[in-house]
Amino acid sequence: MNKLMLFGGIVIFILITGAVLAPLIAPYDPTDINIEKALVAPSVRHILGTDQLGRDIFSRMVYGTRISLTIGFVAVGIAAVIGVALGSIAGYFGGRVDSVIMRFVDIMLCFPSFFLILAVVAIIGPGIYNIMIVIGLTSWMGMARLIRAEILSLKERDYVAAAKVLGAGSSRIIIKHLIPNGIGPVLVSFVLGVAAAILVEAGLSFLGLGIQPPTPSWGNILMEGKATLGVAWWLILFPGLAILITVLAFNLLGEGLRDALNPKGSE
Amino acid sequence: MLLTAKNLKISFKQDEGCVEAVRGIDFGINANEVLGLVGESGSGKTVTALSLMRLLSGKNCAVDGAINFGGKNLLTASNKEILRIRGSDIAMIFQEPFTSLNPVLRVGEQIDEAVLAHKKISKKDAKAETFCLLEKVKISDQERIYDSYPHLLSGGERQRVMIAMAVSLGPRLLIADEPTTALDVTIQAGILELILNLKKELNMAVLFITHDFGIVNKIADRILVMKEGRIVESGNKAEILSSPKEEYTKKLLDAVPKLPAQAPAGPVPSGCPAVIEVKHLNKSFSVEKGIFQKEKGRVYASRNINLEIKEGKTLGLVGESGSGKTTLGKLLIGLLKADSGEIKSRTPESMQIVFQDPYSSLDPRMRMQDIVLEGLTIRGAGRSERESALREVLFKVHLSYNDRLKYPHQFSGGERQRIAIARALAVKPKILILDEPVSSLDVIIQKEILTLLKELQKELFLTYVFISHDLRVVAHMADEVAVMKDGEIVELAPRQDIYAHPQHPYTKKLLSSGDWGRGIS
Repeated sequence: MNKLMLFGGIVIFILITGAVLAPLIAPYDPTDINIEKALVAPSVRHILGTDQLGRDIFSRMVYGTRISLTIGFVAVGIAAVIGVALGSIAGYFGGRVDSVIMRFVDIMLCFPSFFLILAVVAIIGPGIYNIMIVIGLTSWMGMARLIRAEILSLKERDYVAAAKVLGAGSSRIIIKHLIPNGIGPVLVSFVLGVAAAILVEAGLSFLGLGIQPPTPSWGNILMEGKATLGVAWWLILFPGLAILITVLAFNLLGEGLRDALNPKGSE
Repeated sequence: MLLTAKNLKISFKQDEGCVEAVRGIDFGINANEVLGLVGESGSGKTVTALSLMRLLSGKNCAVDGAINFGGKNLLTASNKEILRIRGSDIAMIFQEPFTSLNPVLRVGEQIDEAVLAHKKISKKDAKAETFCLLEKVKISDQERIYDSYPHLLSGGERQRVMIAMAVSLGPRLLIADEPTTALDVTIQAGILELILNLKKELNMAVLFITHDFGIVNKIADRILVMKEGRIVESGNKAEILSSPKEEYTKKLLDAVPKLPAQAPAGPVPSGCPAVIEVKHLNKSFSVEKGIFQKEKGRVYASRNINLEIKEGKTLGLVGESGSGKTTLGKLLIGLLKADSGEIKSRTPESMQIVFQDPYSSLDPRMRMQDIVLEGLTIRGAGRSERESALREVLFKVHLSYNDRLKYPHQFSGGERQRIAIARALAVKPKILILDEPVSSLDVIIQKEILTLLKELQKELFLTYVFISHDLRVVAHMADEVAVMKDGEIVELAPRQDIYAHPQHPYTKKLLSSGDWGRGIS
């Protein structure tokens, strides 16, 4: 296994553990306001400092990990279910079904997705569920194309013909034979997609359309830090680093998976 | 000796330790001789050939020993020397001529390139030389071939082009790695003839690698037999073919499919009832071209097919690639729909199929037991019923019940084909379509599978449709033989008549070009 992929995997493992054990790790309640201690620089008692309401940044970031990872995985999970379902139906049945589904994919790809997400969230209102659903609904197209391409070649294999002769129906062939064999590239895309979804959430929260305070997320810690950038650099630096490292880790893991699943691509 | 190899060892580093592909072999090639290197897949014959050209490289591969050619050790020669030797002194042709040609360059340009790489001449002279070479390899319409892209050429033409490139500089040694395996029998004969003629004309030696003793019989002067990285027997052709010393050589020779020397007397199948009747069956495919996918023509894969398949008997369906035999098999079993005509089947539900390539016919992500039992699972069989069916069918095809949890890649080619047969048998069919079931297997395994199929037929009273390009194999399986060409059945007769008194000229041609087994005891 590739070393960078291992690094990505370890970082993601630490993040997930941190998110699960947040109440044990965080030294303070993330929403506990203490005006007397507003904007304290990183110190032994507050290792990442506090914000303008005196909340402990480290605690807020640990809880923010939960939000970011949940949004990342659930949003991409929604995208994967839609993408794999539509893509495999298009690939297997071909003809008119394929044309209709793939033209729909083309149409969806025409919209700049971040602005589409912004517009939809502005209309239906921010909130963690809305964000996950909207990101999921606007990011499945790549996966649909990937699985369709795989299935176009897999469906010509003899084992599919053999299954037909044994009496297998279309759904059995797609679910039992085609998707398990064609899921590799989608898996890679899934991991890379989590990174993208975390970035989108951070962006939305930064613009005030994402997770609403006082619930902490990396994006809204950044947004709140923007006002006091001149005096409190730690409010910007740490959440920014967290986003950077997380996205990097998911990308490294995804690239590594791509190489591992594609023997032709590796040396 | 033109070339000698001493204590040649080749090993590959893999995740789980080292694999020794060649374990210390010694051999020599004389000038002007054809040395046949025979072995099954995995015996190390191809890596041996590649090592002679020093085409094995990389940190995962270790080549040890000495290869002497013209006073130089090829394993220690500098890269510059090797580049000069490749092509001009030693040349090579491969099994798959399509992947050895660049698909986006015209064939002529590629030959020009090969000529220009070693000779300092003008482009015009190179082109003239290319035409000369094409003539040498007996290509008559040189203009057309010169201006064609590789995909427009037939398999035989492509191999001729590869040979033209290989001999362009008059090498002293030509290494031919299964050059005819991917070709139809009628084309094979021509290529072998060509190699023999060029050998005489150019005074070169040929190292001919093959798994087929029939071909060795036709072409070689001396023979090396390889098994698991070692040379088990070597000697003159006549010696080895008539009195092999090693058990393994005997086994290989014995497994070579042969045409029956005399018309074998078999029961005349006319008395049996027909299980399938095919009447006036037609099927064509449209050929689409260009970005608008306009229909440019039709290919007729089945033309007015009339057949009767008799219960408990085997119908052999013989033809070369593109003859429509596989299409007919798929029509019979319902994987394709006919344009017109009818297929009347007495038991339409109980037909199953076994495919040629046991690597693509088994789902790589399913366990053996799930593959074998898929038909019963679909039919909603209960747990105990499936369990007993699995034991029964694995016993029938001689597979171990203990291997039921393994995945397809953990089995050998022959075992995989047994799994495919077990999968078909698990639903208790009456009729089996066997689409080239042994073509991708080594001869010894081939024989085992054919024997198994015969046993099963007797035991279960199965009816077979046996599709094959090889008349020799069909001779041992079929009661009746249908010869197909361009979608038509040109001759349909009981086995003994086909082999003893072929009527159609095409049948005669097939028989004469595939008849290399004769003379091997």
